[in-house]
Amino acid sequence: MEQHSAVGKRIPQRDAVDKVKGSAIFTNDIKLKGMLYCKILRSPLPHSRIINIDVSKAEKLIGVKAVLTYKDTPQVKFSISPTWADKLPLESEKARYIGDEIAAVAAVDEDTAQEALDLIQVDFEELPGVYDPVEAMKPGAPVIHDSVENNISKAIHMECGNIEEGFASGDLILEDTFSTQAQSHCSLETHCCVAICEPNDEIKIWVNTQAPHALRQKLSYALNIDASKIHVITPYLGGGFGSKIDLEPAQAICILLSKKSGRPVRISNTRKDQFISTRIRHPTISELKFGVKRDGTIVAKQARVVMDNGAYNSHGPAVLLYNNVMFSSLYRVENIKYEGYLVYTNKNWGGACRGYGDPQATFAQESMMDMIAERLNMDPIDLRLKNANNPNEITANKVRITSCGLRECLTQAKEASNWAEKKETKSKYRGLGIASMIYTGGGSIGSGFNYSGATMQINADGTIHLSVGAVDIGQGSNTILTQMAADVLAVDPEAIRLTTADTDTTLPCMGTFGSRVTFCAGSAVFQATNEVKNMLLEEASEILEANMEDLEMKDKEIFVKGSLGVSVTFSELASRAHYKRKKTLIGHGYYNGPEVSDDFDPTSYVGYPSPAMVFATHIAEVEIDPGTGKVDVINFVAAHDLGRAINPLLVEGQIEGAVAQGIGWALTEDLKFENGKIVNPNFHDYKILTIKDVPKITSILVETIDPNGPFGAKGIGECAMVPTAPAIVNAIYDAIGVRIKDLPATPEKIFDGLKKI
Amino acid sequence: MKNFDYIKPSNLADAISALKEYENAFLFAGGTDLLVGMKNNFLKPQYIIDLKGISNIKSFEYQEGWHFGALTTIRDIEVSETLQQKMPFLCQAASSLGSIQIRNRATIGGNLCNASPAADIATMFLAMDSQIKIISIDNEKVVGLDKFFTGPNSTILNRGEVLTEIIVPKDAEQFKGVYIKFGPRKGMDIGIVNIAVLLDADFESGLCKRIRIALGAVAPTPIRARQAEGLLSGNALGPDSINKAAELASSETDPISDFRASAGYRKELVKTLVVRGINTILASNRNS
Repeated sequence: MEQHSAVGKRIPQRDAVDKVKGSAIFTNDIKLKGMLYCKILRSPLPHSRIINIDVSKAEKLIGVKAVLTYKDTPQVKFSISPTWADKLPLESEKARYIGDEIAAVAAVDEDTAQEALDLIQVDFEELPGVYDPVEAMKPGAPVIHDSVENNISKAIHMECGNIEEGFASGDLILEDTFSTQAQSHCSLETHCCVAICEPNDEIKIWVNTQAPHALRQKLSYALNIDASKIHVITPYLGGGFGSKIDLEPAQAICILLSKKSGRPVRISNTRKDQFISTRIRHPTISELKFGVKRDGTIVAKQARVVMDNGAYNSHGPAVLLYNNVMFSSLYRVENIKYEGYLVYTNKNWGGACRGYGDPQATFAQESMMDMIAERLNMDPIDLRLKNANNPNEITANKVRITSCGLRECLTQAKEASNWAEKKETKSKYRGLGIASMIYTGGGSIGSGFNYSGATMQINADGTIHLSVGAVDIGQGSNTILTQMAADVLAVDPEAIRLTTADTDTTLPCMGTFGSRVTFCAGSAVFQATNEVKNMLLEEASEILEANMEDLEMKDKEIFVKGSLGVSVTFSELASRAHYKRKKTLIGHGYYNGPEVSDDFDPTSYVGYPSPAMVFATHIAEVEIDPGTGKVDVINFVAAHDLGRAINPLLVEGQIEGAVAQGIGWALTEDLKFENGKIVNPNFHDYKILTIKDVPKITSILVETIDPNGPFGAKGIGECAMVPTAPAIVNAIYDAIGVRIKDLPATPEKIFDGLKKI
Repeated sequence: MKNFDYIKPSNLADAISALKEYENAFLFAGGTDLLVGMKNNFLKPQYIIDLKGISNIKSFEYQEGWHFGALTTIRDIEVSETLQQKMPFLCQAASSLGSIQIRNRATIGGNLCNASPAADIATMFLAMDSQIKIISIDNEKVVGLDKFFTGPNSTILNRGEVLTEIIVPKDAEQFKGVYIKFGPRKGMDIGIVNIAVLLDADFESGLCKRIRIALGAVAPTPIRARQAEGLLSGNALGPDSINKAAELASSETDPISDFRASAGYRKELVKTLVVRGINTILASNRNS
């Protein structure tokens, strides 16, 4: 095993002390001289035509500096890409959900802005709404977007192999329907931005986005402003989970209000704003049909998925695509058919949310796998091993797998959970459940790009300065990226200065999502740092009169191997380069991969060009209270193939956090709607787990050393919540024989289920 | 949040006259309900009368029964060693409310006056046959807590009246008791059903001398299950009688169906929790 000085070490996050002390500056902490505060007027109706907006009274209120309606905007619709554009920063003709942006006010304080909103008179013509995606697809349903037939924003039809022959070759066919609910991301820090529009039309915006460089492009597009005039800065960021990838209407509004008022403007969501106006996890209904042989071989599988888009697209079309890809790629199955529909409804719109369509697919598929195992009287782990993906395979739907530790995840989780013994000695009301998953470990180049840039420079004084476009959103990328760089240069990670997430000073990075930062930004850092390392070695080899291969680095010095007395420091080398050779020591790294192979066909939805796939197995142990139906998760094992753990401490943090979010989705988290209105937009009634509810979680890190990842690493951020819910639901079935097919598995559903047995 | 005027009287008399004088004035104790309501814009007081300057209603003492000043915090009750010894069930109910941070702020007077049907401490005080003292500019009266609540977030308090004290009769200490809050989470939860059971029994023979069962979140106000109490008082506690009492208690409730739970499920939970409450008391006292 090769030796690493920093990679693989359990190093606490480099900003942990700042955050614990409260000295870390987040976007929500930024206050500028003369800054105004913005509040947004939102539609109180789920579906309506906007007849007239009268802002005259609001404009006259003392303290109000600017009022904005669609008339003050370029009225360019936006989305993840222009193809799917359907949302205006402020709506002009229709409001399509309760919370839709209608007008905005900038005033000297928030209370005045709020008071001004009450003075805005909007005449709406109420239209019939539709809240159920199945109803919305029916002919005659209310039309939400004028040109969209049957409210179907996107349909995917994918088939590989021969589905009919596949089913015919099986001994057993199982069919069932599974559904999932809306989940809110619940980031600790609410969405916030502060914008200044300078007199020369240059814009500076501090914003808690997961993707500053991509946001600059989106703002440029939606506001019709040259991207070169927009400067996006992301300070410390308190959690994203996918909710902060998109352009938010509020960000465009903030800039336009600053332009109109000539003052800096700040928008900060309240927790309620967060619940009622930011993206959610798409609810889905998945009808599955599986064909299997008696020995457990899956010969064919089919899914028909209806995904509730809500009022606008955001990431919806891509989330549906991921739902297809992940459903189809898990297990070696030759004959697959997928039919998916993304359907508009008059509700809050879905978006990227940790797992990106995969948790929904995996809940359905892994519940079904358990049902198959029971019918075949087979151990659920054996059934999964029978069909598990292998390294260096291409799946039937043309997904290229390089490293793959699914079998190791299954067997190691089995052992750690004491599966065999506990199954033997099962007590009443206790159960064990298992689920596995596949996900991307490095984003995808399917949309044409998957870029991350980095520069590494060594100043004349010896300062080592790494600069990356990627944002640390709390997961710890700042720590692991500096660990990788430190490892290359054999220095202490703390010796590295770091600049991140600033469109003026860092190379572009597509953003922090898709579990891509470790892989993509890590690759860029690795490349940039190696470039600088070579420059240092070149300089040193001249000075020390030794071959580069004979040189060794340690503590910012370069030695000739075996002669410790002869050395030169980084600062001597850099100083010499700067002043004598008039050359800066700067290395560039840029990742944008993988190469797209001929297999990839975006029109047939076959193929998915990800640099690496990750795998995992979760095992949950639960105890059910038969008198109330309440589930107590008493033990949890999560085994993850992540290539290599750059920092096992942070990896465990990601796994534990994701499992807590996954248990929440499985049992307690449910954003509930009544006629399009969210009835629980607060932490009292939207129940994320508390510290008392989270069980002991045992993380198992399966290090498969990916051939393409930096130091062999792959992503971990999203995938750790993907198999959690089906593991729990399968454990509930094991405990009491009640199969929950629609999440969340509430005490009431379980109690009702127990009565029916 | 709307603007408001803030008044901080230093004695009860000044608070009462301020309450009488100003329209749309709200009393401010811990603020854990009031401030949330104001921030969410469904409470819009013009005046806030902060009671925290009044020193003589912040503590509790024994004087022919327990007298709790309305501004006693939930946390003070929870951690009181005397109360843990005399009436541990009251401390248990106090510990079920919100988080430590909230319990440090929240007061028993505020919790009762907010009149949530799911209030933890109200359900327990109701089981304890508590009374409350209400003072106005020209009157002082003592009323049973069971007469206090009139519906969700509504009480018999008229404008100008202040709840100043909760009085727990001295015989409360003779009971063994338990508080069970059922909700999806283990912390920071609102109960789907809350139950307080106080039992005075001969634990050797299983004879129930007196029993009190209070239920929260299953009617517009916290309620007593008096028929179930009547069925068991003076009778032997066995599986059959306990089950019958649980059925009866369930039939005495009038829950709503909402997004938290259906009415039918809440009624089923009452059955489970009444049985569980009584059995918990029996089990822990038989052993000791």
